Amino acid sequence: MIVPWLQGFLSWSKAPLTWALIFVNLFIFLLTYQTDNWESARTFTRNTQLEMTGHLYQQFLGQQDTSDPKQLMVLGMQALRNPEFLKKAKDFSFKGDQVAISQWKIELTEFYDSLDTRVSRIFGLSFDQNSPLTWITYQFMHAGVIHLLSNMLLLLIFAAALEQKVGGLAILIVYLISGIGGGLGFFTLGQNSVAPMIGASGSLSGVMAFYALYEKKKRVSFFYFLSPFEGYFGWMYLPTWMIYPLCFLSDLAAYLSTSPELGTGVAYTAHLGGAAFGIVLASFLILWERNHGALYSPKRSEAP
Amino acid sequence: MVLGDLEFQKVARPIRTAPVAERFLAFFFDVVLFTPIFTLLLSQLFKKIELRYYTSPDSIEFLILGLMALLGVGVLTVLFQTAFIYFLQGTPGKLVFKMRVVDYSTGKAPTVGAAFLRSTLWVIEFCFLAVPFLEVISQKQRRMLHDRASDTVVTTLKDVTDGGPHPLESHFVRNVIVIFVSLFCLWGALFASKVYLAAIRGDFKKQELENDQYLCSVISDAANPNYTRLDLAIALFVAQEIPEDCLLSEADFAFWTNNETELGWAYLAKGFYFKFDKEKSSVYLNKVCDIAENSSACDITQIILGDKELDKNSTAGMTLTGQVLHLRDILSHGQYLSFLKESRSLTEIRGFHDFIQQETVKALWGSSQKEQAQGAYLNSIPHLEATHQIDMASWMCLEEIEKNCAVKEYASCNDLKLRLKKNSMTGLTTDSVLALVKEKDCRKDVGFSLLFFHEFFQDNPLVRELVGAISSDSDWSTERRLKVLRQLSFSTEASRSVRHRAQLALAEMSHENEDVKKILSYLEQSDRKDWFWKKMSNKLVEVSQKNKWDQLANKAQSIQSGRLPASLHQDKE
Repeated sequence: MIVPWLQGFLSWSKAPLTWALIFVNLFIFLLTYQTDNWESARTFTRNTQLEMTGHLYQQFLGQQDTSDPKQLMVLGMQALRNPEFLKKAKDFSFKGDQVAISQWKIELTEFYDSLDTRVSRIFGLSFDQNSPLTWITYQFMHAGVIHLLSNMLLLLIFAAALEQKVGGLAILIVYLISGIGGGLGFFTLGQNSVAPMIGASGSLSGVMAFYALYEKKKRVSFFYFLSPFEGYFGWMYLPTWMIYPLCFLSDLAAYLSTSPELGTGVAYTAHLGGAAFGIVLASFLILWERNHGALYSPKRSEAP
Repeated sequence: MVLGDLEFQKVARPIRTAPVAERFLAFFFDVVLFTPIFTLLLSQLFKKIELRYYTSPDSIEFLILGLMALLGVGVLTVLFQTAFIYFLQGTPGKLVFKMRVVDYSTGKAPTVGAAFLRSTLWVIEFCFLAVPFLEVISQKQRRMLHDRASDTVVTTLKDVTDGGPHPLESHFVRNVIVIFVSLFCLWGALFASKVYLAAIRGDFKKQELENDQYLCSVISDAANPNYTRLDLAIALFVAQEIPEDCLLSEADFAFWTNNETELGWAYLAKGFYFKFDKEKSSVYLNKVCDIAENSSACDITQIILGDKELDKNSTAGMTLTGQVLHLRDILSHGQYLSFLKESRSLTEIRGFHDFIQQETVKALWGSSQKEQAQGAYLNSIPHLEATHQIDMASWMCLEEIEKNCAVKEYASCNDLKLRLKKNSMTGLTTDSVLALVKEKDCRKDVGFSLLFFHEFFQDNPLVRELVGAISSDSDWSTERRLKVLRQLSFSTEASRSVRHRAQLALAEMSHENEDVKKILSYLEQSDRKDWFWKKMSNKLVEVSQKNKWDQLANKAQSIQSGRLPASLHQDKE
């Protein structure tokens, strides 16, 4: 077991904005959480329906490459993420079993219409449907409990440590602007898809990248525990800049090695975009502080 | 130790051996650092592997890509480790934790050869699930095989000393390695023999053939240039020679390849496939003539929908589907002699063998040619498919037992028991269960107990009810039996076979003429006058005469003579 251990993150008074951000995320999650397994999706993601969708998608693309059921299912999954296909399919003239195709079109329309009722589509960021507000709201929504907890844990560790250095307002700015950067990364590097992006990962990546550059001379302490015998547990200290290869290099590698046909549940592009903006903001602050002095001085507690 | 210490000289100067925990942390650090780097370098390969994993995990391509990825990671590990050890005396993890790899004899930086050997052996040890790494816990100077082979040691720059292994640690690790090596060898031997046996049996080739089949092999085997593929598929389906999934895949294939000549047949096939969903079936059947007007498929559809009569000499009648429908039609009207004559043309076409053989036996039995039927049964049963063998043996056994319980044994009943035992009692059907139950009732000393059918009864509760009502083994009262039989005889939920057997049993058991009246009424309204209809009507005449219900007996005789088509009289003569 190896756990990062930054100072002060358990204290409310030392990182009030970080805790506030966490509570806002939690509150919004409780208000908006919806399972991915709604009825229309269940109908459409049955194997037989996916195969059929794959066949029709091939016709839509003008291809006729495969009859293999598994490959057709992969194509089917791809089709269900393609907004152009979902919009045009109901009026497209497909060849084949017309009885089954007309039933499929009815179910597709139901599926597509039901998508627009999903909270993640309304408040998340997607290629075919996004408003200025969604660039902010998507940062506070999460797909599940694990998604939320993992993001919030890392946010607590890094943002709390950073807040004591740069203050709450700076944290908020970094969070929001990195989130916007994450959105830009998603649109620039990602695939055109109806699947919306939600989550604080882009914002969090920005906070982590900001921390890694702003506190590059610091070392991050990790507590390790291999066994209860002496010599097998203790503290180790790693340079902060190691966050880059450990986190962002992984994101880049995962992004490059993920097949676009299959898609992925993780928006690595948002991580990369957020990190890039975090680095830019940190660079800006470092330069500014060189000329104007420290941006933020924490309050000292008065002696009794 | 499993392998003896490879060092050939003792070194006098003290060595500050790096602590085990820090070596582990350094290893963990290197894994976390190099994983994304290797993934980046091999990203295109991993992309292909991921896609293949979802689309064809059993393919050779996936296996080769996987092996290439493993090889790539192995090679990169060796190269990176060699470079880091030679130039910097340690991997990044070791450097971070202030450890260095030095030559054991001289204490200096290792040579490039030593670094390469160390790295290569490291990778090989890792391939054995890293179990050889356990030596770091037990060996005196914490030198694993790759350290001893390359004459290196990992030291620390910190002012700490490693106390060396506890005796228990050495003992534990030695035993673990011995167990692991033994298990690995055993697993290797088992795996090799399994692969060898599979190859001898031809399993790999069969798997390959099955994997490549998008269509039914049965249809491909029976393909005939005089008939379209879907005509053949539908005909085989009607003859119960192929399962419904086969028909569906053939129809879908015709749709997706947009085969214009077979589109009408494809809709007809789907009409048959959805036969239990009347609404859906009629949608497909109505589509046939829209798509393929004036075609044989359209004619067949009109015949099925009752808009046309089947003329066996028409174009539609000469299709395979038309021929099979005609044969089924004459069988359902009890025209057995006509069936025997007209089915000869179908015996020449592959795929219909079992259908013709089975129906021939039933036709001979139904036209009172019992000995010929038994002879035909004995000739045909060895050549039928396994499931058809059980069906045929069940039918024959049931008919022979019901005809004459006194015979010591019947070949068909022995056949049935043998084939069921061979299949470990799988493939049970209603008729096979009833046949075995009846045999046990006839001859108390042989046959299966009802417990054998426990699983079958769980899936077929109505059959359980029927068996409970007719079997002498069950402890039901007569009232209960009659009540159940009355329910099953006219139940729409029960299968045809269950209904008919219940009616037969009710006719035999009941002393009330109301029951016979109801069954008579049922027979009158039935439009299928097959061998079972005839058997039932004979039974009603017999029962009515025995109970001196003259009016009912006369009525039973009149429906036999009055309502039958003329050809059946010819059969009786």
